[in-house]
Amino acid sequence: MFSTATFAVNVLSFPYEADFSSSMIDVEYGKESSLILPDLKPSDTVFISLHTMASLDLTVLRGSNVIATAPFEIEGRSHIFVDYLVVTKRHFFMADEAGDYALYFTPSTPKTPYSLVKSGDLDISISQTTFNGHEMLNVTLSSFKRNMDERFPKIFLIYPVNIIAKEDFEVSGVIGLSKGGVSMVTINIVDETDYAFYSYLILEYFVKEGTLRFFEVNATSKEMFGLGNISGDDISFICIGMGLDKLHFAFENEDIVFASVLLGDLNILNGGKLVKVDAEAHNVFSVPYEVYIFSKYRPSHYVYVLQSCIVIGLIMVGAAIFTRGKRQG
Amino acid sequence: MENILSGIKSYYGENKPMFIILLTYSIILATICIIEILKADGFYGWSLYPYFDYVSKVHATPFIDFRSGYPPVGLLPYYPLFKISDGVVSFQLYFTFVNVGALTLSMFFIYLVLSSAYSKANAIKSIAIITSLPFIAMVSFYSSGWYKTLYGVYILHAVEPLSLLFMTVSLYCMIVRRTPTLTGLFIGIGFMTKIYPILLLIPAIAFFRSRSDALKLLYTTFASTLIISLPFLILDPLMYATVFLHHATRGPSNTIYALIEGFYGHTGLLHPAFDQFLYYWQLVKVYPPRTNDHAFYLWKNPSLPIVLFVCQVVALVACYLLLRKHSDSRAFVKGSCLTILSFVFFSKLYSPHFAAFILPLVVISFDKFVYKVLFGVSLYVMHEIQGLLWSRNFYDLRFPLFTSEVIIRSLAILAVIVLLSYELIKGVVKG
Repeated sequence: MFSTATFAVNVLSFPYEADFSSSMIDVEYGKESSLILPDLKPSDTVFISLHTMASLDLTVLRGSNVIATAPFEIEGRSHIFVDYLVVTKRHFFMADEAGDYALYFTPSTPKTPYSLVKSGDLDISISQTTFNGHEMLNVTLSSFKRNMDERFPKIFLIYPVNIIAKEDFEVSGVIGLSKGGVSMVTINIVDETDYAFYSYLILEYFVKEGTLRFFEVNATSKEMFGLGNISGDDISFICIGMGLDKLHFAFENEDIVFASVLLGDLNILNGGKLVKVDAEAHNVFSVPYEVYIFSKYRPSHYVYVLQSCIVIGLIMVGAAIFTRGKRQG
Repeated sequence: MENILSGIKSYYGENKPMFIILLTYSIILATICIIEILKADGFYGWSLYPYFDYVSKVHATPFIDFRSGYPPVGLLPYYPLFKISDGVVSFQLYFTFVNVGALTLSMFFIYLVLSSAYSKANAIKSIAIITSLPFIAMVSFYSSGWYKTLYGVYILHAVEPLSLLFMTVSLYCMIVRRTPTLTGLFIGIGFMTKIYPILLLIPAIAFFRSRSDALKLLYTTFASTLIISLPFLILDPLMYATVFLHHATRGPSNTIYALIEGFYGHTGLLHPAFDQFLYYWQLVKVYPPRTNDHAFYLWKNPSLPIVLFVCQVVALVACYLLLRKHSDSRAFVKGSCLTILSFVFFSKLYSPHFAAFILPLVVISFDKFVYKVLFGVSLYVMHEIQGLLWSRNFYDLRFPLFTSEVIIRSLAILAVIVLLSYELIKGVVKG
């Protein structure tokens, strides 16, 4: 009875409500911004939502000890092209001991209109530049040959649109290779109707350094693999995919592999409405955030007594049922 | 020893066709899966391997620190396979062998049930139809050049074969052995594998009518469920509740109700893996419901899930009332199928994995050979078409083909429900 009561009290008195706070944090590329979470209890679960397209690295410290944060791995599928993940970045950690914790946010790139998703071991830097009179983003991908597991590690610059592709649908812009070697640059359209990721080649691997090229993809453009058509379909994202090709550097002695890609004047026309995506990179910006501190259930020592009592109780009830059955039989 | 050997020999002699069919079946299934594993070259859309890998990397205990999509028996028996494997390919091979074994054993128990309720001829015909379906898989496999078949999907990635095994063992204990204790035990274990087998409790309660038998049935179902759950229930009842509760907010998919909601994709959750450390009500706070988030779904027609739930309850009660009028074991084979199909028909989501138990149930529920073939094969083809839709380059055709497949499959299941209900109402149960 006592162990059951303890168990019931434990479950009923559990703090089901979260400690919640939300505000804005000012961050600067290349610098750390901090947020203090005082008085966490052991096993407290901290969930941080950052409402931004920018990527921010998070370091959690208790005193001078770094606490591991959970890696962002997706349950289900291997990509994250859904708006609630693209426009909100999430982090998670569990407090290992009681105490004050400090969260340090560091933008991994300046803030652009795009959300960044990368596959493979890549360093990325982004800056704003003017090239041949065009305002452009200079996106540099780099890696070490020894670290490159896959031949084409790549990044996607994701821009959410949420439109139905009309007859006049068109994505246009300017793309170029400033330095290094790319495997290819593609415009990718996430088509929710066909449940497909359509790719359109806009820059090939043999393109020369310093070349600028205008590109245009419309509702009837031929997809790279000739798979389908986006006309009339529900489009959720437009992504610019850039791959790094280590074969470009096969005969170079240096270990580093890199490519600097220029992207500018991205325009999205649909149903007579034109959206201009500015090639802007902001080093200083504000991020709205939410922090949830959840409690984790911890059983009392009496649960083992309760477990034994339940098993004994089950045996007694079972014995009563079966002996009664036998007597009746 | 000699007696045992001669017993086995004579059993083999009496049931030779069944042994030949099951041996061929298991070899074909294993071959299909081994080819698919080797062709996939370590790439899998979904597998338990990344789940175990993540859990072991972060040193978390499933059901206590971390939620799982399945109850304990649906997950933990596969964990030792992860521990002894040296990568995803070997894990998938071991996983396949367990699932092929479970499917083959399920066919054996179906054979025993049908031999007892009908005749050996009926049993052989039924398992011949069910086990010949992989041949269709092989035809589509070679003709399409694509390595993913329906069998590949659910043997490589799902726990349904294990769930089917416990369902068929429960049926065997109910219809052949007529022991409420064992029936309850296996229904409980099945429930702890993938929830659906608990539905067999409805025909089982109607079957074991005496108060003492019904008590034994309910007791063993409850006791087996509780014993399996106890360690997790005691150490973190809130996380254990989350394992079941998290299905409540899932959106519809692969059903006519999903089409009504305007969703034409297949089932799947796009969420960070670390979400699984949180309790259900904590996640509800973090993720407000949205129409494109299929883990925390905002219904466009809010009354639809309530209507579906009421329909499921009414269907289960109706099945029980129908079966109470019968005492013939054939009626209970049909009634068991009817109960599960009625529940599935009103479910908000459907997965091609369900074919693992839907197809055998449909085939064994009919007396007439032509119905077995008609419904079994046509439902199988519908499932294969959906597999091909997602795996091949049908992009522009996906919408019309997917919609047609969902509607035809739902109508076929509805037709089976109507036919079985008619047979049970009219008492038309033939040998």
